[in-house]
Amino acid sequence: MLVAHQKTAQKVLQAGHAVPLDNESWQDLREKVGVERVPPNASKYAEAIEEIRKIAKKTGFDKLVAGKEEK
Amino acid sequence: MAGKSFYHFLGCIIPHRYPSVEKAAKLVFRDLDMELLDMDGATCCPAPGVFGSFDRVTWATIAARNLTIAEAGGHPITTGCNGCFASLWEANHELKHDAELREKVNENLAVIDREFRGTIEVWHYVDALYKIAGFDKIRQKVTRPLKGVRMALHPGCHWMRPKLLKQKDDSERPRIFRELCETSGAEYVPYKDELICCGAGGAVRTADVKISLEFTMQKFDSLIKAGGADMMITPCPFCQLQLDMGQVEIQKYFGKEYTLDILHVVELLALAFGHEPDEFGLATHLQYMQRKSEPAWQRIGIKVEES
Repeated sequence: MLVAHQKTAQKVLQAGHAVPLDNESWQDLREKVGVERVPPNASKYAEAIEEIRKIAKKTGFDKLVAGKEEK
Repeated sequence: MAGKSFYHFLGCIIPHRYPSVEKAAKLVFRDLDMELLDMDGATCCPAPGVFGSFDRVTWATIAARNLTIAEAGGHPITTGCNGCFASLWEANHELKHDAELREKVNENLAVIDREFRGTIEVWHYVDALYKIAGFDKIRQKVTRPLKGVRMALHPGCHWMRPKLLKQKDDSERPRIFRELCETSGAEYVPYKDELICCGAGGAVRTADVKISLEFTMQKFDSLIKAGGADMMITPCPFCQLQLDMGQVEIQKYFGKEYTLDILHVVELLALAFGHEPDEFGLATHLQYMQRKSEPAWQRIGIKVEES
């Protein structure tokens, strides 16, 4: 697994999304187009992220993508 | 009369990088009497390239978790992303037909008190638009026909592939996406590499952005060789990101300048339905934000007042 792919997977476990709402400017962009600053997905609901982490722990995916070096 | 209701699966790129697509979808679906419901707590689909490649059961479980949100409300899902459609549609299909996988997934879902039941379907925006609204109704809504605008298409990979499994369209000679886009009044421009990948998919962009951009350049060069176009239309925000933001990256890495407006199909229809670009923020595409530029308004059929 490439480190880049590992980091993408880690983002999903951290934020619930591979491409997260990780900067105020992205919320500004949403406001500019006329939608709510934070969408009704895992960016708004922390419990959704917690569910993803529980799934990853159950399947061992958290270990698969944690702390590996690129080979 | 109330139309069909869908849970609106936003995914990652639409709400977090191209929210103009989210807004345009809301305008277009409303105009066509189709309801988009918030899908509270949905997560990444998850990304088919990364998750699907490295652990099929985890991929299917996270996808199934998203499906259970829609199952609880009793409405199908619609999404405007080919990648999200791939994960959600294929997981839904596999879980309905593979008892062993379904058992493993439901064991995993039990830790969060959820269960996949297989009671809903997954639709791409394209499916909802042509199957539920229908081309006739869409044509009736067109108040700004984009006559004379030359439109290249990038259908992308995952809506219609695998062809035999999804049975959406002939993936080598597709017609549905073209017919949908042609309702706008724009003129279809064929080019040799219309059907190749944008370059981003299969986790290639994540692994090596320069290699992914070589695919993108091949597409653009193929279009230029065919005489060029005024805009390119895609049904996928990941393809859109690659084709739109990719032009800035190509200039940075390869020193080649392309300036082509890249629209999602719901943005095309929003314009054709008479919505002003500012209603959904067309000018917020990352290409324009990075280059401090704006769409080539007249080329894409929008009249601008002289200042």
